[in-house]
Formats: sequence, structure tokens, C-alpha cells
Amino acid sequence: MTRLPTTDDDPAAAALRVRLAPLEPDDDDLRVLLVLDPALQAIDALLTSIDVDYVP
Amino acid sequence: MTEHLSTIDDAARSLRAGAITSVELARAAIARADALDERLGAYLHRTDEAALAAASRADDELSRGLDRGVLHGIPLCVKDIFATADAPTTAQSLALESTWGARDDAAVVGRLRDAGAVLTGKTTTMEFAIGIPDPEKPFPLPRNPWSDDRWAGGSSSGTAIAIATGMAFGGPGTDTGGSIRIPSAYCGTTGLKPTFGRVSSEGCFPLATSLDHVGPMARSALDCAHLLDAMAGHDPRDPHSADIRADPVADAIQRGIPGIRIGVDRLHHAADADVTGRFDDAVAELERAGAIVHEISLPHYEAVTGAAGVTMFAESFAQHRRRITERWNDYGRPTRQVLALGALVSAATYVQAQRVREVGRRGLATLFEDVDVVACLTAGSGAPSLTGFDFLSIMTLPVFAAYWNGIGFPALSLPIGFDDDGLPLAMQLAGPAWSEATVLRAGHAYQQVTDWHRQVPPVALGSATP
Repeated sequence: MTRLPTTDDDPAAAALRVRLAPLEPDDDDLRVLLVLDPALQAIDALLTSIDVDYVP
Repeated sequence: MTEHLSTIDDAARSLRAGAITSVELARAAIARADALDERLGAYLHRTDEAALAAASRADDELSRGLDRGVLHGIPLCVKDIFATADAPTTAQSLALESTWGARDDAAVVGRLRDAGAVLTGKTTTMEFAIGIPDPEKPFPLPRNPWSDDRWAGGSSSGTAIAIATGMAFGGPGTDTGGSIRIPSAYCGTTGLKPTFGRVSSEGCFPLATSLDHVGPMARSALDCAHLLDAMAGHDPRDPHSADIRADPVADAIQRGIPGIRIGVDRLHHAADADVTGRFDDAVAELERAGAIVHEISLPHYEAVTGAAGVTMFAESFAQHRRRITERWNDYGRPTRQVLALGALVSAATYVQAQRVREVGRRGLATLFEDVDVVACLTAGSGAPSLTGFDFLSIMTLPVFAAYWNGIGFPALSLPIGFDDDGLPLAMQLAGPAWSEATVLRAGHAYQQVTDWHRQVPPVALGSATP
């Protein structure tokens, strides 16, 4: 029987598991979070681009 | 009889004119729930007997001349995220300990009871006010009363359904990223996210404490004003409750809007052509009512919206961190996914988000030197289909609410018509901090010359009446 691919085969998924520990998402959870993590990084880049030096 | 499909203000007048009793209003709301709730999923727990007893007391008090105000004898419902003394609180989750809500009423519930309101039960939400409808969990699935294969919006889903269909006249909602305004928009009702700190959140299960707002939901802006007057005020038990004097708003909103300056933001609110057409019509109505309208651009719109997002992810994860680590599988799948996002937000990102929110507030303070109210869409479409609806789809919906949570200023959502599929559409009217009277005044003026807020879903017109 052919094994369905899982996120364990994906280095990015493995790295995300480490960042999420001790949470234990299953493969379906991890697939969604893998899609959204780059969106979070894009928001971070946008926020970092705003000049906040005058804000305490 | 159609009193149950009218407004709080109308029903209060009928009560005092002797045209109807509170018991009759409560029976009508119960009959409506009997007929529709199984199909639409508004209630998690009904308190029919307690409601009828409270209604009977209200009738007795009013007959003796003891009048507690406009809400006296009016059936209201309570989102199941607020603790209530006479019903369990679940936050629509299997992960919340049953002991959590075993206490006195939440502050806002107590205030509504003191005002003589008749509480009909606990309404559906998204799990912990952040998940999405989850058919895998043993809770009702909230459905849109205008088309039951569509989402009702969330997270104050059941309250909006109940108002639209006459199961209740209004109730308190919570809004961390749009949870009052989005269900109000999708269900064709009216809802106000007040200024941060104006209404106590004591006794409400927290989601993201720097973004959580408690506010009124009802059929009209005037009804929201009546509810806000009963709900608002300083509460030392809530560390975010503002200790400032905030005057009542209901009387102040009925003066019309001649000369009021309304800034219209279209730039950040992309929508389908039928939606923008309805919005254009709404702006034209405001102008005919005497408002001075000009185009504006909300400062730092995308950045503040993003800041609100990462703040919600981080703060909600912090709120749930111990529980979700121990009980991952008790959470609904969409809920645990959104909460886990918070684990991916760095401390530096969180801090930067708070500074960006302040930049946005400063920019808006400058904008509000030139305008009194901002008008913009609540959502860029009618309610989405429940088919295939998942966490990723909710993250990409064209909704425009979270900016005002990041800022903390008041924002009202009110209906402006229907899209080409017959689904309700809505606009927001927002203002600077503590300007609820002005925002509601603009909404009330609009609703004086339109009747979108009085439209009733066909499913409610067709069900049994007592």
C-alpha cells in the first residue's frame, strides 16, 4: 500500500513543528499553518516598514 | 401580531401605551424560537420559564408605575461568552471547564437585568469567539436567516440571527476583530463596537484583551443607543474599563445631521459592483440628510489591520496557552489552528504591532480634525456560503472591521440594502474615541430616511405567530 505523503516528508513542516512545540498539530492542522505562516511574515514585514521611532 | 419584529423603541412605546404586555412580547419571542431555532441555530440554551417570570414581573412593575427605562420588559438574548447566573456558559467549546461560568452575572448582563430586560437565553458564537462554524462539534451550526446555506457571520452569530427573526430584540455582543459588526452586516441588523473601555468586559471570557470590546446589537441605531446607555459605565473590576464620564447617548442622537462632516473611504474597501452601488446610494442618503461628504483615505489602513491581526493571534494564544497545550483535541480544528498562529508571532512583532496601532491612532486624530464621522463598507460582499467554508476561507473574506479594533474607536455597522443574491449589505460609521453619540446620530439619521433595518427575512415572516 502506498503511503500518503505527510508533512513529515517536508522540511518546512518539520521546522514549523519545532516552532509550535509543545503544541502537537496533526498533518491537517500543519498544512493550514504552513499556508498562513508566510502571511504572518508578510504582515511582520509591513509592520517593520512603518516608522514608529517617535512612538514610545 | 408583529411587535416581536419591531424595534426596542417601538415595543417600549407599545408597552407604555398598554397596547401590549411584556409577557406577550416574551411569548412571541419564544414562539419564534420554537419555530425557527432548530433550523437557524441561534440558541445554545434557552431560559423560557425564567423569561416569562421576568416578563410578568416587568408587567407588574410597570402597572404600578415603577419604570426602569426603555429596556424594561424587553426580551433580550445573551451571547454564550458572558457568564449568567441562571444558565451555563460554554463559549461553545468542549475545552472550557464547566466551573468557569458558575458565578454571578457578567457586569453587562447584570446591568441589563437591572434595567428590567427579560433575558431569553444564551446564543451561539464561534468557539471562544474565534473559531468558525464547526459541524464536527456537538453545537448548533448558526445559519443565515436570509439564506440558510450561508454563514450568519461571527462570532456574535446567534444574537444577530435572533434579532433578525424576532427571537429577541437585541443583546450584548463582543467584538475583537468584527464579531459584532460582521454578523450584524450579514444578517441585516445593526451593531455598535463602542470605544475601547466604554463597556465593561468583566465576566466575559477574554479573547484578546487589548482588542476585546463589548457592545450592543439590535435592529436599529436608536436601539443600540438605548442598550449602550444601560450597558456602559466604569467598572473597577475590569482593568481596561475607562474611568471617565460618558454621557447618555439615546436622547442626543435624535438631532439630525445637518452640517456633520462625513469622510468616505472607498480606497481600502474593494467590493463587487452591486455592493459599491448600494454604498454609493447610502452615502447619497447621508448627503441628502444634510451631511457634508468628501473622500478620505484612512491612515495606515493595511498596517493597522495587520497589527490588529497579529495582536489578536498573540493575545488569544496567551489566553489559551495552558489549556490548548493540555487539551489540543478538545478544541475545534479551526479554533486550534487560529490559536496556534499566535505561537508563531514573535515578541518583537507583537511590540511593533502595538506601536503601529499608536501611529494609526495619531493619524486618525489628525483626520478627525477635518471630519466628524468616517463612512466605509463593513464587508465587500454578502454572507459567504457554508459549503466548503474553512479557516483559510474566513481569513480571506473581504471584511473591513479589524482596523477599528486596532484603533479602539467606535464603529457602527448598519444595513444599506441587498446584493444581487438578496443578501444584506452594510456600511460602517466610525468616529473618534467617545464619539458614540455622533456615530449613532448619523446612523439614526440614515435609518430615519431608509427602512433597510426594518426588513425581515422571509423565513421569519412565514413562521408561526402566537
